[in-house]
Amino acid sequence: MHSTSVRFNVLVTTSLTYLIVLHAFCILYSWLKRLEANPQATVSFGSLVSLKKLPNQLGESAVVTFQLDADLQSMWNLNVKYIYLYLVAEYSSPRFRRNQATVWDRYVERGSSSFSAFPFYNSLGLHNFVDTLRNASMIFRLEADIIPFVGFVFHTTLAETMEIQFPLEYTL
Amino acid sequence: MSHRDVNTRPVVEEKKTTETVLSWKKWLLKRESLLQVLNLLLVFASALVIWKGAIAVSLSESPVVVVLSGSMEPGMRRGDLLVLSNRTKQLRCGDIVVYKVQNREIPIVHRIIEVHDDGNEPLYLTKGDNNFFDDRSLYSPNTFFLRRGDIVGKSIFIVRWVGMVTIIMKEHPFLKLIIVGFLSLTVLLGE
Repeated sequence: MHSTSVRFNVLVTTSLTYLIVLHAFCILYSWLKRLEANPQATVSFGSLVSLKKLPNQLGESAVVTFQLDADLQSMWNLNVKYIYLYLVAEYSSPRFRRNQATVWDRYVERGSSSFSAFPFYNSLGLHNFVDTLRNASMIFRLEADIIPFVGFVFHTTLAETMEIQFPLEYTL
Repeated sequence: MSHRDVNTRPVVEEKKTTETVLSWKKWLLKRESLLQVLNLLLVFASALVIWKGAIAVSLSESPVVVVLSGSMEPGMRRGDLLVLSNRTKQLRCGDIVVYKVQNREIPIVHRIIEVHDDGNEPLYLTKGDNNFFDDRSLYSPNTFFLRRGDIVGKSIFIVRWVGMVTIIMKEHPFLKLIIVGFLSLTVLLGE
């Protein structure tokens, strides 16, 4: 009755239509779920371990300790593939009014409802070779990117520390 | 009127009617063929209009890109399709961006890990999530940061695996000819 090409054409078109509708449903669902999400997180600055100048004009390096705790249960839904957590240091310097640097990051997989900082991650390095970290007023901000299976990449700020003042001189 | 004229008139008239019908059919066939060709041209023109419209809306020279390597795994895998937007004026740490450098033909999809903004022209440093080192070795010689003009756009939308078609066609160019030829034939010969 109908030729093979017509049948094939209908099959492909129908499958594609169903796929697009399914994707649209997933995107709408995850967008609505995101509005309901209420993640809880705290990040606190521990101490400045060292602030020193690197040799051969490689800039400066700072090592700090921090503690973070996050409950990400409410952020997960059927369309979330990963949650990308990262800690951003934001500060101003003599040359640049806005500096940002990612000092730590972690991909959180499905099934990880909560996340606590392990001692291994508590010390992290902040490098700067364009300016100076001395006397910088710094804020550490815990941010999250929701990476979906399909759809928009959403970003949210989970927590931030109080303003921390770095010393005027390098530490020993 | 002769007896011979009366006998031949219906045959001649029938022959003229047949010729007229045939010429009309030929003309219709040519018209249908022309319509099929115009349909095909309409499909190509529509695709071009949609692409140019996407460029105008996103303000990006390439609003859709395909992830070609595994440097952003596990978040983005080879074959994922990214939709870009270049409307964001102030990029920040954590943004997934696509950038071009002078000595590389293919744009790169990586994440911004540093921003230094003096109020005039921000500087950006990028790194792939799956890479150990930052991207300075990929930049142009004597370039340690990217500028806003190097960035093609920021990734705002992901569709998984769709880009594998592009990767397969890139690795086997003859497949591109076969697929485009097949689709064109479908439109030309379709009912």
